[in-house]
Amino acid sequence: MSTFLSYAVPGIPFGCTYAIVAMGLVLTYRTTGVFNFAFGSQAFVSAFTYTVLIGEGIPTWLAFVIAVVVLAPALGWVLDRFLFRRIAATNTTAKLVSAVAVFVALPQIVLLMFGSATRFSPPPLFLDAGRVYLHLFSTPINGLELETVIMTAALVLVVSAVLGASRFGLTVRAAVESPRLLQLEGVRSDRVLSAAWMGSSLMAGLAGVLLVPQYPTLQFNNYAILLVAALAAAALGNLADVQLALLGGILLGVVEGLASGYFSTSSVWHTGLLPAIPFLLLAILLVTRGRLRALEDTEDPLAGSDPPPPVPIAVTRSAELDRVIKLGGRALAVAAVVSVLTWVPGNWAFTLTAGVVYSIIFLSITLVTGMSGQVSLCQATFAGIGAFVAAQLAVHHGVPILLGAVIGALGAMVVGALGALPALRLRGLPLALLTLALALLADNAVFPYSWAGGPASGLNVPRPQIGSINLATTSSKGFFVLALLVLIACVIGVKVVQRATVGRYLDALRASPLGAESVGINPSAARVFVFALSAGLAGLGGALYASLQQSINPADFNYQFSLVFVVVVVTTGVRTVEGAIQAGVSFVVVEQLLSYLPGRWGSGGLAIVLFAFAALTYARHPEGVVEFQKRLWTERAERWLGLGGRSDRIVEMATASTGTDRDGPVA
Amino acid sequence: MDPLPERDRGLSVVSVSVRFGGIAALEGVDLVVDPGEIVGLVGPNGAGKTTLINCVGGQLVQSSGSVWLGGESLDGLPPFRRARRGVARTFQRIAVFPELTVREHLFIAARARRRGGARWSELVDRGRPDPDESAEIATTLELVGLADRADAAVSTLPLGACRLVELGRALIGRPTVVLADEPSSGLDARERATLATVLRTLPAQGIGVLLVEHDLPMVSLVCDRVVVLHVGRVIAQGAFQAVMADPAVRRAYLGQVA
Ligand SMILES: Nc1ncnc2c1ncn2[C@@H]1O[C@H](COP(=O)(O)OP(=O)(O)O)[C@@H](O)[C@H]1O
Ligand SMILES: [Mg+2]
Repeated sequence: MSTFLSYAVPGIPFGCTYAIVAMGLVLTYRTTGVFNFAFGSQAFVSAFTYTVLIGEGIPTWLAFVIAVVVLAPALGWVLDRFLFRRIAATNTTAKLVSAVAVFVALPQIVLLMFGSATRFSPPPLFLDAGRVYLHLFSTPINGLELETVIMTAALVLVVSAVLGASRFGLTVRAAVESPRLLQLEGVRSDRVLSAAWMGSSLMAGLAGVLLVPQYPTLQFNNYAILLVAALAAAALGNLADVQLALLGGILLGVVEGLASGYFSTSSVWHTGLLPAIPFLLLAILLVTRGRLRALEDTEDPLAGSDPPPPVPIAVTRSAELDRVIKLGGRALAVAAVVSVLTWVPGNWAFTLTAGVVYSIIFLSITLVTGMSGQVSLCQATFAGIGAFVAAQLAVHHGVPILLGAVIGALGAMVVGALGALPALRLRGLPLALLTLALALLADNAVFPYSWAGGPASGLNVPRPQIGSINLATTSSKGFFVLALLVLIACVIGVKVVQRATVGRYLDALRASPLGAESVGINPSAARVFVFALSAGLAGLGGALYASLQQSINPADFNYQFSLVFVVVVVTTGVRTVEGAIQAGVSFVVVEQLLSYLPGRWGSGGLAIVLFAFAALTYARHPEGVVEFQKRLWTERAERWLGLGGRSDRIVEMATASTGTDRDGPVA
Repeated sequence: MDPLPERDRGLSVVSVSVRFGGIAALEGVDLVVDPGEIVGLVGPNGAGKTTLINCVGGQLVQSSGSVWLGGESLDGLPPFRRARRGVARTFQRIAVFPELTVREHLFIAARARRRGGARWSELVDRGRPDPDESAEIATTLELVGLADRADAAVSTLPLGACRLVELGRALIGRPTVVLADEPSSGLDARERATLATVLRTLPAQGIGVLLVEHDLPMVSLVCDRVVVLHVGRVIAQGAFQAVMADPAVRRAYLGQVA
């Protein structure tokens, strides 16, 4: 008993933080219909602020009040008011992409503001971590453990009092069913939504601060794990049951405590299974729980009034303009290639080569998100599989790197197809969560092994040798040509599929799975195909990336890259192949340009923040801001030049869409 | 009821029940649609008409009972397999592909229903209809009266036209049975006339139709037989006039109005 407890008790504080965030997730999801990924980052922001303030010598209680009671709800209020409230209730993808963008941007913003120096954690809030306050069945309970339990219990009391009393609960339920219906009936749900956001953000902030003393230093990664553990706990309650979520969170913490106690530190269970527990649990729940799968089916009764995103302008602009633009585009592309090969300095040539390689990876997102309409948060993991397979084959078995890249791409393809199998019946949010769980599973339980991701110090990856040309010695320009050729081949491949019968099937499935299946299209086959193909593309790009960098280490393809990739591609336009290429090139160019900025501003975080802000426009411009601007300017040009064009139907659709935006749910 | 007698028939639904939680949406429903027959399925809102169609189409799995088509059981088959076996349907809440044109809708349906993406060549072909499919698409466009709007994106069409697109999408590829869920709602007078005409051409091709419809004049005009559903049970069936004179039916309808 006492051994059991001595293993279980240290898990409780973790469990409490999981439980708090899980409660917040369920509450916002129930009231606002937004599944807020960003809670992980919001918890981090509060934790960071708290740590910084204490470092400045501000008393603990004041730091707590500022970070948790003031900052966290304010952040929630801002996110609601200026972002999520403007997104239609039915636009799952927009809500998801926006939450991911916030998740990615927030930590970068605080790091830009305060610098990324290592920050050591302050002691617990009001108790002494080193002191034993009481014994439970002769198991000592220290101040840290006692404190989190007390804070969690207090929070639970407050929350249940607020929800139990008043008509708040009832209004909350109505708001979940249909914010729009609520609005039609003249009920103002604004206050309810704001209250839910502020309350649950406060919970995230509290969990963040409670987690601080658990670790010696402040690391964002711990907050990502907090988020996933909370997701798993919320999934236990079917994202609907607050009590179950609470219980699930605490249980998960205890199970982790027990596992780390009973598995000997050197066993494969300890190194492999233990860090994977929350991700595995989340994945299993998503796949097996029918109610979670049905999340996507709870539709707004007034849905269907949201117009689809407009057709890409390239399809509908006037024939004359089309010719000019295509010619201009080609001339520009040729000029860029010639420039890189001639006068562009080495570091910029390297940057642009990286852009070409990224474009290949980003094409995989065009396939999954643009063509099949699903958000995948594990594309970097597929890239990693390609990279690590190619690198390991090259380093340990002497396989030529290009052959290794093909094998790596095939490997990623197989993993993509296998990964698609359990996900067959999922779409939208549950699918995105599953892909995130898989990415984190790979990050924590597969890539850290030296047989997989290589040693932490990195693997040295060779550049290709083609005949007598060694691309390592002929500077990176030879590699640029190689990458460009691969990209062109991939683009042609994707375009062929897009145009083929299968492309039409995918169009149909994206627009209406129900309608598509009713005419005989097999959605499972399409899903496996798309995931396999896109994983293959990502794997190929990843292998080329490894070879370009000439060295990779296990963290080079972690889940954060997957999120950033989605954000970047969504910004430039996820529906077209051109969008992927623009994303690849602009990603590296923006990063390189910003690197000229002084100090931490040049560290790369700023680029991510900029792209994330651009991605926040996804709700308004699901075709991508870049595509939106293209349409705007094309239409202007057509008007100035007096060209009729084929874009009258686009204009019609554009006005229709801005119209609904304005009088959307509660804007 | 023994399914064997229906072996060589079109669609047969045998004592199908559906429960949502504690609520029974359908209870022991039996229904037959012979090839070339138009059966009207009527009943007040919430009677279970859409639920029944979902059970036949495979969008919903019944709690008990079975569904047969041409003597073979459809139970356990996903919707796309049922579609390839000859079940076609429209949706009460339309499920069109807004960005695609009318012609593309018909092309996709014609090809998917016939061969269902089983060929590798479909990965690299040009995604264009072959001559047979082109002819079929042209005929269907004429039939549903959308030939002049064939190349318009469906998102630009009014609701009535969208319903006709769905009907065309269901009819192309010669299904055995068509399930039409309130196809006339949102249609103007001319489109209603088109709809009635289209439906009446189907029996000659041996296609059976299960028509869910609130427009009773339309039902009396096109249906050979009417089945009345009320709170999940069949309360009457037979010829239109006889059924409408049935006191139980009058009560079900008047009860709802009052
Ligand atoms: N997915 C569902 N979950 C719970 N109840 C449902 C569901 N679908 C339909 N129902 C219920 O089943 C009954 C029959 O509905 P439906 O078949 O749509 O009726 P009809 O099409 O005749 O108007 C209604 O009481 C409806 O509320
Ligand atoms: Mg209905």
